[in-house]
Amino acid sequence: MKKIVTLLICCLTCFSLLLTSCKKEKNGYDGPVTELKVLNFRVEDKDFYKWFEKEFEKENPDIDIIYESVDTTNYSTLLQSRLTAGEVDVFGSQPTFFTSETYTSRMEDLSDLDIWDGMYDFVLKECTSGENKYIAPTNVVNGVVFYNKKLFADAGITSLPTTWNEFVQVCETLKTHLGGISADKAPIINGLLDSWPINILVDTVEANIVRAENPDWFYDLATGETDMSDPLVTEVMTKVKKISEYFETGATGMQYSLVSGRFATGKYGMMIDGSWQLSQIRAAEPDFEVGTFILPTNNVAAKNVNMCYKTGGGFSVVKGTGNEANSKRFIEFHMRDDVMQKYSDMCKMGPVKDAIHSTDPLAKEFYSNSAYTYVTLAENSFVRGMPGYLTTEVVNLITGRTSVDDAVSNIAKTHNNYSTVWAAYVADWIRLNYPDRV
Amino acid sequence: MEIVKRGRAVTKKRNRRKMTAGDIFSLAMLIVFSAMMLYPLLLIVNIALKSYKEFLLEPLKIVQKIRWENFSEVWEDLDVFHRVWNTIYMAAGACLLGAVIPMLAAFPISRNHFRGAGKVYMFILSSMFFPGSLVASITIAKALHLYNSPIGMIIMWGAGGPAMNVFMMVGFIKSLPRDLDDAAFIDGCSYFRYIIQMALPLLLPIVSTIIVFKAVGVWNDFLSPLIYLPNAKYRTISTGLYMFMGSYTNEWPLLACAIMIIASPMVVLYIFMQRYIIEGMTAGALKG
Amino acid sequence: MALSGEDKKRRKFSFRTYPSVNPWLAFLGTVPVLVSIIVFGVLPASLTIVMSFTDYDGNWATADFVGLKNYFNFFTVLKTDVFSYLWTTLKYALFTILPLQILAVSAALLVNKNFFGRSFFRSLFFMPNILGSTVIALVWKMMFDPISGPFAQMLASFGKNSAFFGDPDISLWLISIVTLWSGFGFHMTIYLAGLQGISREYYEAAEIDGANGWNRFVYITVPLLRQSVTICLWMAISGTLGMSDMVLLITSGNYNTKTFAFFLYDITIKGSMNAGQIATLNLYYFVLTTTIMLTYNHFFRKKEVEL
Repeated sequence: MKKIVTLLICCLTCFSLLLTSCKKEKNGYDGPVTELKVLNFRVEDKDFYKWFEKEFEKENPDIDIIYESVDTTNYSTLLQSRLTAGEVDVFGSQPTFFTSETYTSRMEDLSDLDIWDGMYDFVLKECTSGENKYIAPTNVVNGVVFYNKKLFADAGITSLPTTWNEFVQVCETLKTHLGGISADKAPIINGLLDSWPINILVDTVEANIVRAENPDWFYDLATGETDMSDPLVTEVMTKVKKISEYFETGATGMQYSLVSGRFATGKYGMMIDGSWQLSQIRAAEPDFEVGTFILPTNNVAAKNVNMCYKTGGGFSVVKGTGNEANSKRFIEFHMRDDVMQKYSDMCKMGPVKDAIHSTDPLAKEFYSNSAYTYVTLAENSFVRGMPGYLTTEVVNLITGRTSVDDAVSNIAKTHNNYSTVWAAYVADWIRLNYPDRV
Repeated sequence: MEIVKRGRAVTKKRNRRKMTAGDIFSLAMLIVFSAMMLYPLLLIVNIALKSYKEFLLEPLKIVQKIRWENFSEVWEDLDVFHRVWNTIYMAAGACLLGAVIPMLAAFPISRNHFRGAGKVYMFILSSMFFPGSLVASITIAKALHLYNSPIGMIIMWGAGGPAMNVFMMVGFIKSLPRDLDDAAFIDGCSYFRYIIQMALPLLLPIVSTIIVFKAVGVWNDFLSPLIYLPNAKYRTISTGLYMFMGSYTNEWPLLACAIMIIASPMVVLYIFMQRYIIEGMTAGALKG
Repeated sequence: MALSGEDKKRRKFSFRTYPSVNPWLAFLGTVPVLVSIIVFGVLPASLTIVMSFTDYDGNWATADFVGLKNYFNFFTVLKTDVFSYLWTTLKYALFTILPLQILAVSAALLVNKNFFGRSFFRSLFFMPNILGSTVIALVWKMMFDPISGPFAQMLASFGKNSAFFGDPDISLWLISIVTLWSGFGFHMTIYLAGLQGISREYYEAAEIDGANGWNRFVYITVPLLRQSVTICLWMAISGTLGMSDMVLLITSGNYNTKTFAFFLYDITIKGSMNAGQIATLNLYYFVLTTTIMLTYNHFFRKKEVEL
């Protein structure tokens, strides 16, 4: 018995040694190969980056890309330990990273690269910190409503809602049509086991309440003219709570990764989520008929025109690895128009410059709709998401542990505690977005 | 042995009579326990064989159409052999260190082979109660260049927590007769050679308990490699699954497949070795 | 052969205790253990203590001595958070430790009888330890999924449903259940060893004297299992107090499941506090857990039956 086991182990080890040595294939290139370690949080783009690796290594045989992606929940932990160890050359970044010194101290200046031509203004602003640009943006994302066309038609909903009351009415109609709310049928589906997805919902709700009333509200917040105890914030939270009443039962216990697939089965009416979910819905069920409309959180129809967007992500180069030249080649290759177009086609994300066009019809509606007024997502307007305090409070609100008033006062309290921490970042944000008021 | 034989004889007699209420109850409880253990595992196997669509639409039914492609899609990304090899050699190293180091200390201490052995023993035992923190450990690991190196990980795993092992061994060695080693030393046998060649075989029950504890600990530990071994080359299987989990959360059947692939070799190995493992632990627990 | 009394009095200090054994070699044997204890025990401990009096945050150059500020923060600034996490840990520990022993003992009793296939059941119950915490967490995330999980299906047939891990009221208990499922096999093995150490004669004598099954259990098995109980309780207590991986894998600390050990891990990794503060929290928790373990030791070691 023991002999068999030891034999088995020996075979396994030999086999694995063989396998590992087999992996080094070359395509006729004999020179030295440097590794380029890339870490990203866009797990949904896996397939694109497999294609990317092949194409890039064809043109740059002296670089071997080691690409890894981890989901959002675990990304920051992993990234920090990699940065500390110096085990990453290029990492996926977002404008919210500018508030954390852990990241800013390791970002390399990318302003000299020849990639910024034709990029949208707001994207350029979001990738800038101080005088230089540190993030090479690859996509733009919006906070949107996905709706199930067939279910809406079956429920007798002929016109899309344009005011808050109409929206609530739509939810009620769906609820009656479905015969009540349960885990596998509901007007709205959401998956909040990991908590962070609630942020995009709050930000989508905010766009037509706070910004509709005062387009410069975040400037006022940044300069201290107002704070989070503003009644507009209370209105946002009340409406978030109302929306959460139409979630499927057990929404807080569902894993976020399962939401897009389950929505595509057609049992739910709507999904209020980030536009990044589009590729997942298409992948799960290509024939699923899905449409979109602006979430009308304002009581006045004419005011519901804001579509919130932000630079969804991009790549930053790690400073001080000695591999910056290769990392920059990675960035420059990625930002080429043909590569970016392929990215937009495969991953259905928003384009960062005019030269890129979305091919998916729904993506077109999201990203280049002339009827929308595009405003920056709350998260990037004035960062308050970093310590995650908003997330916890909203989740408590949804699970019924706190009332709206308590939630708002907790948020206001914590926000004030953090304002000094972000003072430098806020000053920078004001300078970039309101240069005439500085 | 005798007890077992007697037990068998008694059982044989018992088997002739009818099953008592107690026996039926025991059987029922066994079935309940087994169902509790097996159901979650079978659930995963069921999911692993489904296509994504089938999983979304009919999550709980038994799989209608098995999708074998799941395995091939997952295999390459998992890099199973590489990870398992990493885990095996690191666990082997850790077990070796974890068994040998305490033994080298336990022997002189229990035999009182130098003055002050008792004080040294007290110090070792007190180390069980030292405070520590992750921050401090990471700082020290980096300072000693144990960070991001598999040897460092082996040392940290192997040399960690020796106090308990030393304690168990000291107790065990005290029950071994002294005449053997006295005779050996008088004959001029080298000290360490004696420990390795003569004492080690006698210590096998304790050593196997320690090896099992360490090996299970290393296998289960996905946090330490995550923190101390950022380089993907050195990744162990648990950490590999953790990272894989991150990038495949969208497709549960593939994830379930990965779980099956990772768990199977260990399960197979365990079924072969379980008798030795449990016997070793039993003997160790009895005497310790 | 030990040195005789006269010899001992004659020499001022002798390192050697046995004439045939070189004491230096003997001492050399203890050196590896001592080195590991110093490197992985004394050093981190001293560093932690030193850090706790500063506001060190990755850069020694900017760290200042802050005296007892970090210690006071525990009772002022951090009070609400810290006490709620301690309470969570307590709830979790209390709900897990005792049922774990009951499950383990029951399983050990079931498997102790000599019947065909008993080793299959023994290994089946021990299986979760082989699977690893990552696998266990994933399995149970699916078991408690509000749609695909069997429990959800059972509740649905009554027309109800639950968020399971997303429900702050029950999430902690569910994690407890996962711990019970995965942990009882390990403890069962220890109890099994203990059971097999009880001589059959005791039972037979009792049976002759007319004791029924239950009495035999209470008066023979329970007292003689004292040693196994001590070991298992020790492991259970220290295990539940230090549990952080299940919380990390399943809820990431949301929905009221943040145990103190997870909290320590979380702030260390996320760096949301300066390292000095983190060190202080570690020390507080260390004092708490050591007190508990020593109290336990004091009470339980005394009551062990000497055979």
